[in-house]
Amino acid sequence: MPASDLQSEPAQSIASALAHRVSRLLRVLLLITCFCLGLFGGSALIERQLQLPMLPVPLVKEKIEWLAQHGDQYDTLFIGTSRTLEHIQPALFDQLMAQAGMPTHSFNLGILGMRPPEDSYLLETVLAKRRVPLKLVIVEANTINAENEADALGTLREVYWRDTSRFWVVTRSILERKRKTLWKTEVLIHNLNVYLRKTLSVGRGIEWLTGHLEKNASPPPQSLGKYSDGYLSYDTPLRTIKDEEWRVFQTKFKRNIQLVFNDGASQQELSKKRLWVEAHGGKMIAFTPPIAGINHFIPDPRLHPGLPWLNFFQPSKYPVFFQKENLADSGHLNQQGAEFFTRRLVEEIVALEHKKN
Amino acid sequence: MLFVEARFFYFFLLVFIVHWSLSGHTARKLWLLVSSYYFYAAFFLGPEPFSGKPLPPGWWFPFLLAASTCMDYIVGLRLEDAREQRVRKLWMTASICANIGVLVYFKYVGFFIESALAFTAWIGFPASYHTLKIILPVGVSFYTFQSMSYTLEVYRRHRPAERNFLNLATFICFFPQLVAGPIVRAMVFLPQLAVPRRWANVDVRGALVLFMSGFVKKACISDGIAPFVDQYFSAPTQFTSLSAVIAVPLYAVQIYCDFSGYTDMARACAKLLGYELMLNFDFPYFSRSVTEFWQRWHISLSTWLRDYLYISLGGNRGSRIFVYRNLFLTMLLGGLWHGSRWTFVLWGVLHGMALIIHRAWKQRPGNLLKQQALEENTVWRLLSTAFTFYFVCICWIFFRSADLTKPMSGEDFTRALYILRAFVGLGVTPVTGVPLQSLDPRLFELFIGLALIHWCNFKGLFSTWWRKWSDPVFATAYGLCVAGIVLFIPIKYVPFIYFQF
Repeated sequence: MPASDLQSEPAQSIASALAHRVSRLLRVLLLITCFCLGLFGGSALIERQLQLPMLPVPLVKEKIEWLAQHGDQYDTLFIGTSRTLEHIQPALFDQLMAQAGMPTHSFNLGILGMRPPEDSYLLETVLAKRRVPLKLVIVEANTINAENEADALGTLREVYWRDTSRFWVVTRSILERKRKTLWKTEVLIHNLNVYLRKTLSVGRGIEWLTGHLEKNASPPPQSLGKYSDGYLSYDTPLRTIKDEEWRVFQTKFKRNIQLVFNDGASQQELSKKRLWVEAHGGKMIAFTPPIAGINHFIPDPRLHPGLPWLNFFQPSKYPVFFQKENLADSGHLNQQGAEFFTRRLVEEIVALEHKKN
Repeated sequence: MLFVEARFFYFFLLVFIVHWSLSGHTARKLWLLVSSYYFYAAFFLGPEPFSGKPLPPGWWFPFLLAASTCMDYIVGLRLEDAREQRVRKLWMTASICANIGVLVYFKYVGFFIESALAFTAWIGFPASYHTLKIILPVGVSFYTFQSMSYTLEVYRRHRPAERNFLNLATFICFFPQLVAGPIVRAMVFLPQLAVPRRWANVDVRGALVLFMSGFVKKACISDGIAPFVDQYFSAPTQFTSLSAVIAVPLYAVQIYCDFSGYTDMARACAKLLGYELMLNFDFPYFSRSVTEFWQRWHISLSTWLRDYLYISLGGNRGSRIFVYRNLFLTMLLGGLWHGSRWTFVLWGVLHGMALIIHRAWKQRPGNLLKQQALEENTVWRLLSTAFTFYFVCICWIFFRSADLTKPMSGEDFTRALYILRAFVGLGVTPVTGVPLQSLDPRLFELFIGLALIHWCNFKGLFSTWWRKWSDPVFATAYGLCVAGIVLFIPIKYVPFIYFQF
């Protein structure tokens, strides 16, 4: 046997083993691709063909469905957390705005614990069905909600909004945070799980089937308030903060309030909302509610040039929001406080308008 | 960590990839051992074991499992090395006492005390005690029986003692079957651990289809039915008689799909790792007698009871009465194995009596040819299948009527008898003034539909055609099927019923 053959034999066997491995790997990749194609393609096809009903998330479903039918009647929307839902009374807002010569018809789109990017999903869904231009969208400025609140974990509430775009927003926000790797990994996995539940429509076949079997299977819709304007507390008894909670509240605000420009993902979300609102002919105003966390988000003026931002989290400027009789608990105003807040909101908006003119 | 939870998929994916990436057989077994202990610990430590929160009660159960393994390892070696039968008996007794002791402590101490107190109260000497709050380690009944099978086999010289500790430890805690079976025999599994596993021998397609079928049974059918069944069994007096006729067979479907679904998934996971677990369910509801039912239902437990209890009691040897006694005791203990409730015992007693009656019927004097002809008659076969299912459903009433979340009370029996009366058509006496509810009669149509699909499966209609497809076609079709299945997974997972045993 020639010496050259002896040398090339091991090289050939290594090459063939490598080729074998590469071909196996390619085959595995092909099969995974086929599986994903069947899975995600099938899911998309099923969703389109069956027109699966919206997930029955309380209040969210009612508000979306109401605005799908009557949305064009409203030209002002308030969007945010419970601090929007419970602090802004649209009927009073409309009345005061009319008195100021800026007539409008508003709707409170606030939902308990709704922070970006859930609010942008809701806003996008509502705006997609509009046929007439908007006037105003008043948005509560907040950071991205990467970690869901304990009572939302495992519920439909964390699923319904997590489409591909929102999934990436949350992912980016998690990666940008200065937290431990273990925390990041856990939250990223959770984000992926919930995203897959949304994308694959997990459990929605049951909704669809029940809907076909029983016409009245879904629970009766939640009321949208006395005037169907999304504010729910018109007729509820006046609550005031408990003494013990009030003491904690007072010590909480003795500390310095930190105003922070938060992560880029949250700032980008705000920009996105502004673009949509402007595309629908409206104007966006961002606001920070009177009682937010000690460290709270503020819009970066360099990223949002010309965006009006109303900061109500200033005890020295707005002491009325920090008085015991106007608080329902350590995080929310009661109906009386909400009335004060709505009035101040209108005053600030009117002042902004005058400044512009 | 349930097999239907998303975190199990990540866990299994990691175990699978690392397992087949490792080249050494010992390294693979070590990896399986570590993974199995992690899997077991996850039941007690919850989803965030390293969150820094105080450890929950039961955190030490994996150590109990480890201690049980060490003990069986030592006993196995001592049994093999001992020459005198007396010494061997002593070791065997010690091992059985320790294993049964663990089981009795965790499962039956509360039961015996409660029963004794109830008895003293009944005879006029009421006594009180502080309720024992003993948490039951998940799967203790399964792994205890499994480790006992090892020592019994060594004692009977059916196999040599396992000298490789890693093999024995992996056998006892192999995670696919650790918490709810099938109860694997040392004779079957230890030889598998001795031979290196080869990827080329893994029936991936078969395993994937088996996993999917188990998943559908558990997540879609069993969990889908559970709310209706729970609704009825929690307050039967609020429902019509017709509801019992719907709810009881639905429970039969639920428990079958729950348990056999778990077993299918366990077998599929084991298959993907290169191991074979025994078949645990073989279409039990198509049995034509209770005897046949026990040859098809929870096969790993029934054969365990047969081999280690029934035969030890004397089996078929001796007089007819003696054999009947053996049958009865075996089923009684089989009932007690399921839990510390008198309703479980009664469930076992009913099955034991049915087995005795069937045995007596089979051994009745008469023309053997005539008997055979009768058994081959189609109408007879249909009737006997229906009757067996009906009887099994009656037994399930007692099995299900115990509310395991509450202390044992006579209420369990009252509830069971009430449901029984409704189910067999003796009518119900509703609580006055409360309008009776009714389960949707369309659930019965669902039951018929599921029975038809199950029959098609029984006849093998779904067993092979997918094997003829090319790999890419199979992968795409599998993806499509998963897309369809996930639509029908209820949002909340229900824990496996058999975890509580």
